[in-house]
Amino acid sequence: MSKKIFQLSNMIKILISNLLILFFLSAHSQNRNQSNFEWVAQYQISFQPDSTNKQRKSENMLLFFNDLSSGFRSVTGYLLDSIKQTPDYLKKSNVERMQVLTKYPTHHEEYIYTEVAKKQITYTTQAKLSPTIHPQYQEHLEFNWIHLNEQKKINNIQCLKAEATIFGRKWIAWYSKEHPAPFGPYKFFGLPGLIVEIRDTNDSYVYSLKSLKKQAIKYSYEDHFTNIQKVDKDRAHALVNQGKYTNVSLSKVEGLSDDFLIKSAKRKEENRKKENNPIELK
Amino acid sequence: MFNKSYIIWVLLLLLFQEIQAQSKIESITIVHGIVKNANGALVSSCSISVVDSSGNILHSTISDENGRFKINIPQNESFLKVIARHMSYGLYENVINSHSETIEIKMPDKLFEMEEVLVQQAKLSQKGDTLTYLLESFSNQHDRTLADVLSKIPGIEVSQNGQIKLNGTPINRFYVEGKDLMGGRYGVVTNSLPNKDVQSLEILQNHQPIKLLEGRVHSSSAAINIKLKSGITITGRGQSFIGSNQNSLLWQKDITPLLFTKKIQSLISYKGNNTGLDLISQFTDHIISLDHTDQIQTISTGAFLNLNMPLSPSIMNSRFLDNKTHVFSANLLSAFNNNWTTKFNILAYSDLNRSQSDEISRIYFYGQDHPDSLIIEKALSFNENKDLLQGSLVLEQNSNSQFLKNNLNFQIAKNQSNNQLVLNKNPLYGNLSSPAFVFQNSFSGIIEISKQFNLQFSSYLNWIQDQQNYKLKTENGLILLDSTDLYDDFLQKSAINAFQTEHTVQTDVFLDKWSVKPYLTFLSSNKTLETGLSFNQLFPSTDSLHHNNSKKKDLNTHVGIQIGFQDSKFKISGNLPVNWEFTEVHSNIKTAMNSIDSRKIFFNPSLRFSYSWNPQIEISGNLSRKGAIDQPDLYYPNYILNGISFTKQLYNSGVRIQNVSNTKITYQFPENSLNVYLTQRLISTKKDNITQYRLLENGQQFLQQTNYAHKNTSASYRLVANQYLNSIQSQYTFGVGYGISKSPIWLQEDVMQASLKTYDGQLRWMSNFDSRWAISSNFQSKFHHRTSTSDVQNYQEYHHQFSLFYTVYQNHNLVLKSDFSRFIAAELNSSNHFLDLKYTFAWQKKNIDFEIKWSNILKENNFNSVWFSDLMVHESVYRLRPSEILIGMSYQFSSFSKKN
Repeated sequence: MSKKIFQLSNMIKILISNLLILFFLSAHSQNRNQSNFEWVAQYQISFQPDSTNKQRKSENMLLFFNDLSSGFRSVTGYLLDSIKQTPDYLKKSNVERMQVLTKYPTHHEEYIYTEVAKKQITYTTQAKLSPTIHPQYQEHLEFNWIHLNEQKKINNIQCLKAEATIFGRKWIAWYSKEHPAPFGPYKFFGLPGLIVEIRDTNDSYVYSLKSLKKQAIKYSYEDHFTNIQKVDKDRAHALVNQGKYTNVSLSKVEGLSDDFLIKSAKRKEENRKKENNPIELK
Repeated sequence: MFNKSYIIWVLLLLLFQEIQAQSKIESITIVHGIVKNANGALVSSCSISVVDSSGNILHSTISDENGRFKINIPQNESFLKVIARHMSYGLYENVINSHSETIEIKMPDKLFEMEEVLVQQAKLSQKGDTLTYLLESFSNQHDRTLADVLSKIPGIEVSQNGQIKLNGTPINRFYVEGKDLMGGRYGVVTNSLPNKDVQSLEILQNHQPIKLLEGRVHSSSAAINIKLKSGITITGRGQSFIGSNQNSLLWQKDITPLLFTKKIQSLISYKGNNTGLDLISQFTDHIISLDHTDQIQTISTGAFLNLNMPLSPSIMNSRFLDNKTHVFSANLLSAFNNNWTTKFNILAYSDLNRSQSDEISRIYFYGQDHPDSLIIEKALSFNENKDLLQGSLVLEQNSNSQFLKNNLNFQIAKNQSNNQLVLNKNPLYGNLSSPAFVFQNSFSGIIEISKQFNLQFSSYLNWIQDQQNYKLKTENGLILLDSTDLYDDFLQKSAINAFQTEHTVQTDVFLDKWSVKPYLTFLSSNKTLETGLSFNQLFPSTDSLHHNNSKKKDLNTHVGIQIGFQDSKFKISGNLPVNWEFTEVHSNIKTAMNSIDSRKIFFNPSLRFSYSWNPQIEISGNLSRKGAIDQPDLYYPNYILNGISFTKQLYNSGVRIQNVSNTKITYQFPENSLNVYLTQRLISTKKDNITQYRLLENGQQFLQQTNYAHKNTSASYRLVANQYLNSIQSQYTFGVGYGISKSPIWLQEDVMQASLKTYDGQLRWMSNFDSRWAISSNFQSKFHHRTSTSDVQNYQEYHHQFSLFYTVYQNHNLVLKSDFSRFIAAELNSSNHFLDLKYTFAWQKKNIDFEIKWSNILKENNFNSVWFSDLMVHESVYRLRPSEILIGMSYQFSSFSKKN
């Protein structure tokens, strides 16, 4: 009897240890997908935030990828993520941290993680509420790319044309089959090569490849985003807009005059009116 | 019955639909399968495409987590091929049957890595008010320095003395990596910084150099910031040439290392030559502060007494400059942190210049009592040796809440010049020496008391001691003063001592878009002048008509208020000062009046404005009225000998009122590299005093200030357009101008009205055709029309500079330069044509150029030209540099560092 109990306990130990190994392997495997990228592409986004004003803004963005997944983050955001983990930054007061943050302005707070085999996007962004939170949602995307078999050279790279209608816009993509990575900027993926340029037919948003380099990079949103709240897509956008266009982030700040708050609210409302041309219309 | 037939019809319809559906299904080819690697492992995220016989992609998909995929091809194709791509594997291609089937793709091992990509930066990018030009996009293989490329940047003009203008307005700062090492002496940087080490040139439009005032005080001028290539810490350039012309051995050498780190910038330079290369202009201060934050300026000394010297011709300096120049400059900037910097600059030079000219000047008289005209003939040989030592120490804090600056400056100058003048066949020999000392200090600050309130202060002092000794020997004698006696030898001495101070206190109050700035300024100036004239070794007593010992004291108080408004489009600021001016002159010479003073109050309002319709179009301008006591800078009631003229400045009570209006319309369209601007400048000056000229037949002049209320007016208009055409890598500049000035001239006993109209045009073209050819062409024409009560004169001048750059073979380059000038006047029709050739072998590995330069190939020895002065029409023949050959090398050096 005791022998049987001993055998049973050994079996349970083996089972538990196997389960633990399986769990760590699984965790490690997930971590590998999330963190370890082999290539870095830099894109420039040029966009028109106000549909009534032709003035454009631009920013540099990074696409890191391996053979399974990609991560998309603004250069400024990526730099800030590193700075925020330095001992020098951690020693700073809140006011000093704010001064550092204002030196790295970005129009794109989000991090977009794409698992191409699952056709799944994990979108994590920042809502400047009080306190700041990071809403996150997942999205399954079917692009239904239409191949037009037109070719052109963009910056000496031979590119093929494809079209897709998604996010309320018609998009024209130029990709390189010489670079067989099925990734692209923002949420775009699924073409037989890396997207070199993609723009909507109104030219409101234009992403252009500036560089592609083989470089090992570790990055995962868990390392850089705290206070993640899993919500649906609409809720995530509502939270972001609440932080951007209302005074909710100032609600717990003491000593602000009514005049300041009124002016701040007015300025944010003006910004809401000016930022009327989001990348996703639907 | 009806029900049966109805059921049958329905069944038939359903059957028909089923048949239709079946036929549709049959027209879709479904390719599905699985992707594995050579070891049989499943491959996910693989890109699978199906292409037709022409290679057109019909459809594509990505394999899922289990390596499975499915593609629907919506038409029948006789040929189908499956292509699979994956980052970690080689390319898979396989022709399949043109009907639905299940396939297994076996990805081969990877043979090649994806190629890296680096897209070149755009030639131009814009971010806010900053335009960034990628320098190498505008350079060609013949360019070696930043100065070579600078004028190819759209909107930038570089004048012959090196001053940089953007759309006709001089820049207000020249930075390298955001730091202002050289101040206004940026010419040495542009001429010494290798263009290959420069990444980009940034134009900071409407640049406000004081951080505290950014966004609050509008600036209408731009700054330039040079961004170096990543890692450049030490760079620079040097050259060494020898050669000869028919007269002398030639040499040219220079070396200028530059250091740029985050905290320290330094430039040390030695330059010397006797080849006609104008080095002094490279060290000329081109930035003049228009506010109280730094009032240090290069003060011209040794200029009270002058020798007659030829007027430089309107061609490139290197064609005529007969020089021997050594210049040394050491400059160090140290940034303690982002806000505090200290700067030390020292400049020393010895500049010997020789020039020769023959000149015929005609004066046309008005009135019955005079001959129609007087002709003065001059043969002039002039030598000048200028020695200068100048230094400055600047300490500056420029933070978001405070600005402090102290600039301490000294200047020691020693000039020695002599001339040989044959004036209407009367030989004269002049010798002038002049030591001078200048000390200046400017201290200023702006302190932010609160977000709405700044306190500004400035204090400036300036001390000058300027002495001159002038000896003049004549063979036939000169008439002394108002007598008819002739004297052979003259000795004129002068000593000026001046001490000036200026102190200002100002408060800035910012109320949303409005600003109110009351201020108070005190200026004081004390100047003493002692002069003595002796002739034929006779020394008259110090109280005689040949001496001056005078003091002039000025006290001015300005109380005013500046009111400004600015939003994103419209900016306006008005200045409303009331100036109380007190002037007192005192003479210790008994023969002149002892003391006299005057007090006046003036209201001198001014207005500045700018309005931008959009980022492309802006109109800006200023209007001002300035009244002051109309007094010369120095008071000397007795004659002094200056050149061959006797002059005196009496104290005549009067005022001078000047009205100025400037307007500029700028159209700037960076995306098309198009810049257009139109300027208008109107000046009207009412004066109570005029200079009275009295001319003698031997060419002597007597000048003195006389009471005579009169008005001078001038107006000028200029339209300039330039565009860079990227497709043909060419820049075109087109400019036209018109100017008119009117003023009275008091000659002998009569007052004449004289006016000068000038029309001018310019067409410039620069093109980098390809890697072998480049061209630069600049055509300018001017038409002058001068009228006075006694005469009408016209003359035209045309200039054309043309350069052809050609790479003969690999690193063997040729540069051919042609200069053509032509003058057409009633009695003169002359032209000059110059040709230069340069061969360069570029040893690129070592950054060394071996060069042979042959200049003035056509052996033009003299330059003929016509020009006007107030009184006269001059025809001159200027001696030029002869044909000459130089052989040598120029080299560039740079050092990279990963950490600055």
